[in-house]
Amino acid sequence: MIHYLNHSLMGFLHIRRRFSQVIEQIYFIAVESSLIIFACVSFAAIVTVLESSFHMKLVIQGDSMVPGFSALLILRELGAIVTALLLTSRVGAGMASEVASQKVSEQIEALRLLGINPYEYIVAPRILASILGTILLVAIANVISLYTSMIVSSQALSIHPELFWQMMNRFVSFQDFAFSLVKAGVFGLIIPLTSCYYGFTSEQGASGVGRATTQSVVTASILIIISDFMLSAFFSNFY
Amino acid sequence: MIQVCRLIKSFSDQPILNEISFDVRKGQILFVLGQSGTGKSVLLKCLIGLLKIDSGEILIDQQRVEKLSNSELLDLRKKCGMVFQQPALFDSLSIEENISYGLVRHFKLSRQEQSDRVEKALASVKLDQKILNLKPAQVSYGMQKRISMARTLVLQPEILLFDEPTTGLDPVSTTAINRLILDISKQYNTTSIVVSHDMKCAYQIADQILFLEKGRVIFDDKKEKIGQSNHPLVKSFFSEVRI
Amino acid sequence: MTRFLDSLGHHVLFFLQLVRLTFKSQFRRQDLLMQIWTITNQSLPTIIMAGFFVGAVMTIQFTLQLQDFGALSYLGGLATSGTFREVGPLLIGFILCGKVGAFTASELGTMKITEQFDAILCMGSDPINEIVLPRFLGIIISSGFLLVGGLFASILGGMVLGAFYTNVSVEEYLRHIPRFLIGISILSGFLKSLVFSILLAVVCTYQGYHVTGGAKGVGRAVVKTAVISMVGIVTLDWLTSFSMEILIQIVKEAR
Repeated sequence: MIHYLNHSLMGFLHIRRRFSQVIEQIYFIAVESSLIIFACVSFAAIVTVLESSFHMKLVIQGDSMVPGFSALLILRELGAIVTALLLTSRVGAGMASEVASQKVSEQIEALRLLGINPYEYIVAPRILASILGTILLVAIANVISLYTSMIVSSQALSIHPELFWQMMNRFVSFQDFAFSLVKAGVFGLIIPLTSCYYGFTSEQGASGVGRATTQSVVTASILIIISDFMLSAFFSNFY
Repeated sequence: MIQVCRLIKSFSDQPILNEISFDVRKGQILFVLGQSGTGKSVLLKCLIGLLKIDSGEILIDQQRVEKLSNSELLDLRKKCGMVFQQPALFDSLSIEENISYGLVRHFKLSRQEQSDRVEKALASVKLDQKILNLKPAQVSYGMQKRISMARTLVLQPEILLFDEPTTGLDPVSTTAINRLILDISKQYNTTSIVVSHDMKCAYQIADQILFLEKGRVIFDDKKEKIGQSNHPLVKSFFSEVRI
Repeated sequence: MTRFLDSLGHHVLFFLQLVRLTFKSQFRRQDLLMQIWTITNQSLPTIIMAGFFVGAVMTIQFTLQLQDFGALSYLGGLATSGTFREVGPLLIGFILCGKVGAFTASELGTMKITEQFDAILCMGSDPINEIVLPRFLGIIISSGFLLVGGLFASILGGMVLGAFYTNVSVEEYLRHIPRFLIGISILSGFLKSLVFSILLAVVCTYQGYHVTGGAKGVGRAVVKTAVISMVGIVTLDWLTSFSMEILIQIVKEAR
């Protein structure tokens, strides 16, 4: 495992050689997933607004605070987490399954015999692509979900869009947006690292591929939740 | 007992079986030969209803297989056993549970009768009783193939279909399996269809040989007559057999 | 688009087939119990861990916001309500997609390509009844238990964080829960979880049972299962929230 981490991360030094691969991966990660992610993040935003309104009414019998409350929740948590978990399934599982299939058909061995370090060759480009792609996706997803919350607020809660932005600005600061991007970067790092690890250590046969894919999704999800907790705790010190 | 009439089966517009016709009488052993990929396995799966044919007739004991409903097919399969190319044993069950799988579900037997039949089946594939409690992953591939056979034999079917029973086995195991097929056929008067590309094996134990090439039948007759065929492929296969 | 509808149709048909089989009641009760035990056993530790951290994160976020209003004593009530209604079923659903969904798809897929299902068919039994159905029902039933475990873990996580991070004592945390956690909330949370688990169960069994293409095919099926179920859960989450909201509006208008 040390070997794996070492070479994957060191692989960054040689990344320029594999630049086309990086671009290709970014396309796969960010562009192809984008539609699904934006749709889901919008759904999540709608739910956030509805839930916030429900709870607000319980506490202060009015939902004027909803814009601020939900915007904060979206930027600080929802945007990054929902995006990351969805990426875990599509990108993480996909990578694990791909690498595991390659391992099972002995392509990895073939690479080694050609004098190529498989970790540098396969993992490093994906790590870079994933970090960049995830940050990009989360940035756009955040914006889209804020817009969606505004629309829902005006339709369901009769909060005028202008009012929404005003209230939102009172609570939200640039820090929140920046922190969400940091989270995105961390999540973007976790996904390919775990997926490729399980891909490389998969056992023989179809059951090996299946197991590697399953484990990568589970482990990555857990790591995302735990690191989200740690990052949230860390960032909260800056408020 | 088994009659196939102008069977056609295609995959994505590619005909794999093109107007195949042949008969097998009760108690006979038919070997289906041909190069790899000529659709021999597909033929077996069509016979037992695992694949739906495009056109033609399959009669097993005067029943039109291609017209049977799913539940009728399940009934048919109780008298028709198939042994697959891969052992296909159930990994989570012990070997004893694997062999008695069909027994438990379709026959009302006492525990004693059940375990007697399992022991008998295991003995007939020349395996020791002491492996009964192991899991499939713990025994060799050759043993797994034989256990898979025992699983089918224990149901005492009238018709047996074998898909490449000796492929991937060492010569000693191969001979043992061939002898087994012959013994069972004689002992229980089962009708057997064996798909193989082992010509030698065919010549030793078959009554009848069916040779397929590119989805068509190029030879269908008693095995003694195979030397008389003029087809180049049959001839080259035949020349591999040192008699 | 047609491919999507096609796939959706297949899943629905498969689901109906499974439902029909359930009521024919030929299934082996033993297998079902075995599955429930296995699934719950496998997943409970993970779910509890996830629940704990989810509760913790909710506490952190709500603390920041409530502090400004001096409403910190409501922390426990709000965090718990939010978790039970929304975040709990959602995140637990996500975890289950991986732990149970991907696992089942992989297991069934492997069985499919090693011809074990064909072998069962050849012995005159129905593999859907024997193998798929216990898993399908097992997933749905187990997820109930797992949800309960996860929710309790999240309350625990929230309490612990509250005590150490926010100086909200355990007592204070729990004090307002009854005020905020109304019956409808608990009900809706469980309902959501039920819907999610049915979706997950259908998708993973369908994908696993219909694998083609060897080891790669198994990998592909697992990926599809993970993606479809996660996206499906988010969408269903929105749909159920949305429709409940509309229902509530209608009820209000009617009064």
